[in-house]
Amino acid sequence: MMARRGWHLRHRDLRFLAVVALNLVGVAGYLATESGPAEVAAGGWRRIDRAALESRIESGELSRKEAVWFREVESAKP
Amino acid sequence: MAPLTLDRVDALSGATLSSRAALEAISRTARAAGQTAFGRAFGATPPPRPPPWEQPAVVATAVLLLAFFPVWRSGRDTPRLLYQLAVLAVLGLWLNTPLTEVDLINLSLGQVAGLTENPLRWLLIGFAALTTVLLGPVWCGYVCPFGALQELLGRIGRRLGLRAYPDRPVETRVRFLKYLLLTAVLLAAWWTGESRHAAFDPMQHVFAGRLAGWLGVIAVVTLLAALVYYRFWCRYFCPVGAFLNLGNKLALAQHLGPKRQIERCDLGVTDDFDVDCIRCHRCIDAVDVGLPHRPPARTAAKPILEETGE
Repeated sequence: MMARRGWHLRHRDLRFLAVVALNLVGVAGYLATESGPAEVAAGGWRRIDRAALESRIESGELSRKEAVWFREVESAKP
Repeated sequence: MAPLTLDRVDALSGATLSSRAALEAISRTARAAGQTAFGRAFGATPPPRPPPWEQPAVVATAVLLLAFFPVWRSGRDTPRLLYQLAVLAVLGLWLNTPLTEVDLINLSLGQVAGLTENPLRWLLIGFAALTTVLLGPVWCGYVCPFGALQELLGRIGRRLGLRAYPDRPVETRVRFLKYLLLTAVLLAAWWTGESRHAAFDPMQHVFAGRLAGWLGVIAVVTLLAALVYYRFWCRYFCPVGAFLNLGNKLALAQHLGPKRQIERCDLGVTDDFDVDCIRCHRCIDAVDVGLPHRPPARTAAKPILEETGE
């Protein structure tokens, strides 16, 4: 009976660990593919299309990363 | 002069307030630049920002935070449940402004908005800091909207008979994941000076209703797991929760609150200053604890000679 109970506990723990591992895969996948710096060519003048920016903010398309866009760009320094 | 296409604007948080702040910052910067470079104003002058007490978001949050104290002192399950519903509605669905590890990083890097610029953020951070030192991580137990969402899912899961607990030795080891994640995101942020490595937290994305990509995977797994495992993200993954948990070792004024019935805790909390307690106070009314289904804690191993009676 003890052996059966032990097997049952192990099975339940494996299920729990599988869920934890799945979430860790999600975190690793995000870090590997979605948190990298944007490849933006720096320099020159840019005009912000404010209406498009507003519409994209409202539609939620700019929400997948925290605000990293304001970081300093080395090549833009005088 | 090609316009800046928004494919190149790569990042804004999902927080409603962040989005508004970004737009406002762009507008103000453009006006200031126009004034400086060309000596003329572009666009209409925005109205002055109202004082904090005239901002509905700040007032609603202040009321919510003040209401915490009587609810916390009562230690009862029903007021806490109602409070969590309010928290979920105001700080989650309306304002989408939970505390995340990005706040920790920004504070540690000194990248914080001024008090007048963002009084709501300061109100939340100040409340969390003060209560954590005085009462322990009550932010997690009562005020975090993502914690509230998971707990509500957990209550549903318990009613559906889904709640389960891993064996305690397994859980004890897995709960240290959040401390590892906290250490990793802080080191990465201090090393690179950026907070983007810490943006894997699904909180704001869930409340913004955006579940695409890997963050969608994390969010869906977390919310489904919360049906089964009590506060799955909070207990095993949340870096900011790991940081606040350290307040358990202080909790300088916890005696002002209700007496916890620690022997009823279904999460393995063992004493008043146990670092794993999230100060949920479920042990007091024991309405939502799944203790009957919980395997007993393993007692310390006895010496073989004593066990065998030799």
